[in-house]
Amino acid sequence: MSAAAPALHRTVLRLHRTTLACWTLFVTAVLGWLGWLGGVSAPHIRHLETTCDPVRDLCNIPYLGWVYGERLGYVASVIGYGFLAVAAYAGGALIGRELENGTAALAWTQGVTPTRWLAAKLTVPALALTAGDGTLVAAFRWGWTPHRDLRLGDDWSFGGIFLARGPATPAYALCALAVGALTALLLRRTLPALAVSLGATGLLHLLLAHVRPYLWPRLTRTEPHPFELDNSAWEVARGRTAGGGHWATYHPPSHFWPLHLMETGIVLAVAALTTAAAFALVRRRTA
Amino acid sequence: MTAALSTPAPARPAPRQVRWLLRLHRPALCAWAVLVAGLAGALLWLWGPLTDAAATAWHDYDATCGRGRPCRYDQDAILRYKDVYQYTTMALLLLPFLAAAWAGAALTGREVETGTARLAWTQGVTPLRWLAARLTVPALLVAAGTALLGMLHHAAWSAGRGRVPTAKSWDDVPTFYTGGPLIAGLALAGLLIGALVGLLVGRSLVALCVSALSTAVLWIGVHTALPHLWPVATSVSGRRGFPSYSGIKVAEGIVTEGGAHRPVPTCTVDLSPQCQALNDRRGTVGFYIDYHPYSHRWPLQLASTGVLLALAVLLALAALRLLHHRTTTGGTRPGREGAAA
Amino acid sequence: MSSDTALRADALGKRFGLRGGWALRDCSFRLPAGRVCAVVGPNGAGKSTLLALAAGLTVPTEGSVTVLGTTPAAARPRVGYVAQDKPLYPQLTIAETLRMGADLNPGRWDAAGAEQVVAGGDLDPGARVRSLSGGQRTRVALALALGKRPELLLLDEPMADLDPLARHELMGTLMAQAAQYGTTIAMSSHVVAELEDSCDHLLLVGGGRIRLAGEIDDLLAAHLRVTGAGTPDALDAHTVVESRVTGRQLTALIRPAGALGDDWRTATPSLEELVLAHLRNPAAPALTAAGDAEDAATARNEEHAA
Repeated sequence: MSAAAPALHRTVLRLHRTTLACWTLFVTAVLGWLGWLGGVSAPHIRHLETTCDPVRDLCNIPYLGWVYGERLGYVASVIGYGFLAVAAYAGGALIGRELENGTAALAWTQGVTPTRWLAAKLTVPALALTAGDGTLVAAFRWGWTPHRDLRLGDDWSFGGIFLARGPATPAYALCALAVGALTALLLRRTLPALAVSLGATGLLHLLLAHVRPYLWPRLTRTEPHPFELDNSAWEVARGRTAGGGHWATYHPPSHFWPLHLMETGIVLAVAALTTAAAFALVRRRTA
Repeated sequence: MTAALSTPAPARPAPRQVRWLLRLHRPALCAWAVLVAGLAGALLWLWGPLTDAAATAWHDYDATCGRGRPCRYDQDAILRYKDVYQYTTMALLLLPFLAAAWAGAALTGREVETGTARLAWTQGVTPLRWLAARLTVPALLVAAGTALLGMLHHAAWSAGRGRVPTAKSWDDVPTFYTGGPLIAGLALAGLLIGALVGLLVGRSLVALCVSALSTAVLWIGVHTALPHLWPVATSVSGRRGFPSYSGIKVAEGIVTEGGAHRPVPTCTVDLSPQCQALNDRRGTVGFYIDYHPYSHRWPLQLASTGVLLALAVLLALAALRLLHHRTTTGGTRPGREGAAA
Repeated sequence: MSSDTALRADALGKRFGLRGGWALRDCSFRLPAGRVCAVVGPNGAGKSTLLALAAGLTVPTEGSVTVLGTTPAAARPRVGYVAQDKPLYPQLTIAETLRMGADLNPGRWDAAGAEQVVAGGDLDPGARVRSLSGGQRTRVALALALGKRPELLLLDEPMADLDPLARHELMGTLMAQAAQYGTTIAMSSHVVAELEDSCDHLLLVGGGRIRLAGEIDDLLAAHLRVTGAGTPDALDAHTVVESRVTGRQLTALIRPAGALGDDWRTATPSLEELVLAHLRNPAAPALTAAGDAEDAATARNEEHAA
């Protein structure tokens, strides 16, 4: 049995080598984009800042900084929301198609038990996703952390940036994989599984994005007069007290990690439950 | 094409395949109906109650907050307006991709992949009629649904214009594309791209990916071509001023002594001594900006929709031609032996 | 030529892709109307391609095929076709599938006949196609093809998924159809024995070419299995399809070109022997329906001369 596992993983890799190539290409492209933004674009603006006279040379540093921030925001969205593509792939091509075509049954009769088949089908993409997303998150943190003062348009609380700065990105990818596997096992048809998996994962994310500010206690500030919070704070709510004062609840930037890890934990829990359900389903169906 | 469509079926009633097309894609039809109804409901909600509430909140804000009095306004109403506007706009922007992905995967790709297309072709439906039904019926449903949503979106946006200060300006990219018939044109073109790709590729999942990506490429093309689809308005100023404009800027440059407009990349105003010197050297007498004002909104929408409709017709003809070529051409040309000899 | 010829191929060839190999090359044959024809050949011989070309589902790369006196595309309404993997819409029920057949073939649908084919399998009309076994799917696919009451029925490996009982029963249904309406049937198989009893015409495809074509009786009569003492060159006057020497004994399958000597023991070969001998020896010359092929060639030449 122990000798069969690498061979099985090799088979899964061979079956999905086009997808693996696409994933590698995607990771490389995003890394290149980040490298260009952090290694070329930002230093260039810094250089202009010291050498360029806005009036004499007509260089619009705030505009350049805004464009640079916007592009970094696109990268964050691509990294942070990539799990939606994973959900579609897992429901459609990874599991759904095999069940519809009967190639899953072929594997089950080729000396691989259904549970081992599912394990291999999930392990190999899970490893590839964790490695790729880990690299992307590290690279994004490298690109995002410096030059905060240049970028006027972005904030740590923005959806894509919030996800792309930590383990929530791979966690969502793994959860999407599990949701895709479960829907495919339930529906046993490629295209419906693809659509339902995508929809379910998207809904889960919408729900979590909605409750995100409440996953960690907010700070409250009360003042007798109207006031503005610090620019870096994520304002959640604002109002008037009974005594005529003003209050606001918010998260300071230091709340990023507790909030991010809470969400990651929830997503991983959903992923674990879904995976367990998928295995239970396979075992019950084929026992 | 017409010659091929008129099969020598002697006075038989036409096959009733539309009914079966709808039956086969009943889940998709239901999903589409729910999606359109849901989005239409959300847009109606946005159009009426949400816009009114947000406008009232802004009115309260202006009336109370600025004047040292206690600030009393419904902040939630403003945020709800913004959220619903954003979500519905995003959802509308996804419709062309949805149409393309569905058409590539389920409408043609899967039928070619599993061989059910051939089943239909040997069941009294000629390949061209089979495809014509598969293009026409979904095209009508998609066009009707997206056009309705586009018009509702425009109505909802118009209701907030001038009343809700945070409402998007007309040249905001998502707002422009979703508000009007243009989104229907994009969805229709996406659908036909999907149908053609499905026929070409013949594998449902590959066709799904290729169709969605092709639609993205089409969108980039439309976005690039859009400003040039209608004559621009031009604003001109002398050397001392700068041209004023609002809306979509298309080009800017200098006015030469002969009155000609020459686009230049730098120094389109005399801000610095260097620019002044440069403009003196190149004989600048003034500056100009080509742009599209708000009054060009509808012409731009209609022109780009027209281009997309023409493209959709071309794609449909290409798909029909492809299928004709694959299944019929060889048989209708009995002179082939002569050519071979 | 149209009325008595159901299917005719002239120098027919089909290549997949620009650089792909030829699935079928230089095929000329004629299938008279009203026959039940076995299209036999090993896996990958080009049988499915030939049937798809005849059904007007794909276009020849070279040459031409004439179906019921016209082009395959024009003949399609009069042709029934069942593909090898029996594609059906999985989401429809059996009853819906048959109703669809009725709707797609208005004016010529034989509802009773189609229902009878399905009823023979004791199938629940409310069952979804998705839930059917391979053999049950075959039955529904055949019902759909028979329901349009075709003049030419093209069946690609129709019996592969069926149990012997169902095979016997459905073959009976097909033969009854052929007898009652004069339907021409061409069915492919790689199992010769499966078709030997029911078919009267043979088309042997091997390596993308037609190896044998004609009435089975004529083909059998044209060949002899000979045994005797001697060397292979003793048969040089005849066309030798296959010969084997065991010790001093020579066994050969030949097409006699004249009288044989008395020292040869002769026997009529079985159809299976005939087919296998031709498939084992690709170099053996083809025999395509004595006379028909030549006629076709002459006709073509006359056309060109004119």
